[in-house]
Amino acid sequence: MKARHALVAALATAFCVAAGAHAFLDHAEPKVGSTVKVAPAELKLWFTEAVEPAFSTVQVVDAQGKRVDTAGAKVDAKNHKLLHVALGKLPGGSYTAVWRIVSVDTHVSQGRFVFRVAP
Amino acid sequence: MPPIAWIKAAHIAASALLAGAFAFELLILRRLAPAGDEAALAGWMQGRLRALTLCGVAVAAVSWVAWLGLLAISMSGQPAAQALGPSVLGTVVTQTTFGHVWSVRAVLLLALAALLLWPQRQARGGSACRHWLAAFLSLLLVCSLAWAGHAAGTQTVHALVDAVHLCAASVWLGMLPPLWIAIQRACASGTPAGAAFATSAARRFSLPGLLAVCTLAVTGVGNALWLIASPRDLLTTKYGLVLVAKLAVFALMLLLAAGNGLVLAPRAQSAALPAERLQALRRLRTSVLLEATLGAVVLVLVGILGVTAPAMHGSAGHSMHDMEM
Repeated sequence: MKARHALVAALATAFCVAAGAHAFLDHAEPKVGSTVKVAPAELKLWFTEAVEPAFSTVQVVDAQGKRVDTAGAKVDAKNHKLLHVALGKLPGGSYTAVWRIVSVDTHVSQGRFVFRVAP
Repeated sequence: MPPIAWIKAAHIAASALLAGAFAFELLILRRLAPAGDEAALAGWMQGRLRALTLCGVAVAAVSWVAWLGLLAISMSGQPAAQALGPSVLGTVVTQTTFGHVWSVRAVLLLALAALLLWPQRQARGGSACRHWLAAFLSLLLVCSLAWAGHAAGTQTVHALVDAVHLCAASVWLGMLPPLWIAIQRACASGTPAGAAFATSAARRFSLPGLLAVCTLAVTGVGNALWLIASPRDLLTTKYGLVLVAKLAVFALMLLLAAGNGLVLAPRAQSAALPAERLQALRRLRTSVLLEATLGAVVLVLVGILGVTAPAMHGSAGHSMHDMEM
């Protein structure tokens, strides 16, 4: 009986932790929908899967639709699930990050989220 | 169903046909040791296998190019006129994981085409060596498909499990068309030699078929562990439902395969009268054709799975809608 329980637990654990494929936004810094007091120098986005640098883009725009990122998105050298986006000096306000990424399994996903700067 | 899903299905089918035709030659045809009229049939069968492999290479090459073109359009997000230009195609081929896999598999296809088209002037030993090399390359071609799908985005061990899964599926599904051709020939000719040849081939098909099915079952569960978040997702997500449909068709194929190997093929072999044997062979021909048709359905479902987000994301809330705030 114990062995049976152990097998079920092992399978359940495997089902819970091992799934993957298709990259979606896992989390970001500043956090999705958050308000920060200090203007960030860069936006970081973590995806659920490694992304293709050649076809993955992130743009950050202010409330007027003007781009405030300075150099587009760069894939982290060590962690290919992480994108860095350098930002200019951000005054207080609302900003929208618009991302379109291609995962290494060739699937395209896109989305957007807002964060606010309130010094 | 998007065009890329059809292209994927066609490409996987062509790759499977290649691997299966070589497997049929090496695992079945060369072990029959036919004599007399059966030897002539074996020679005729070799000609058909060569035609099948040439057809497989051609379809695989065309669909592989189409796959690259469709991905260039979707990856770049540009209209076809721009995406299919040298700039975007070059970037896909040289700067993406799929592009690297594409290049390797293109070289494999070229090597297979060269092996098939190169004039055969060597001695028997050289011919056998060439067939083993071609079989090996066709298996590499099938294996490498794992790195062009969902497994490329997870872990290396998943890609390896998927590669074994693809190999087993290809050997099983790819050997069905040659087997049907052998039985069809026997039914059409009605000769004792043709019947003996076809029933021997069907009996010899059982062992590699059984090994392939067992491998598919184990590696299929392995694949599911990476792509399904929980068993409930099998019935609550699109990916899960398509997977369940695939499993249902797979189960039907198993029933047919069991009937072929355990009932119809032995009945054809042990029939005392030519008429009885012919009748059994006709039933076997129908059953193998049905099994191959269901195999084609499985490949279409695989094509759909290849463009569907795995169940993990459907249940984990990683949708674009959730991210928009």
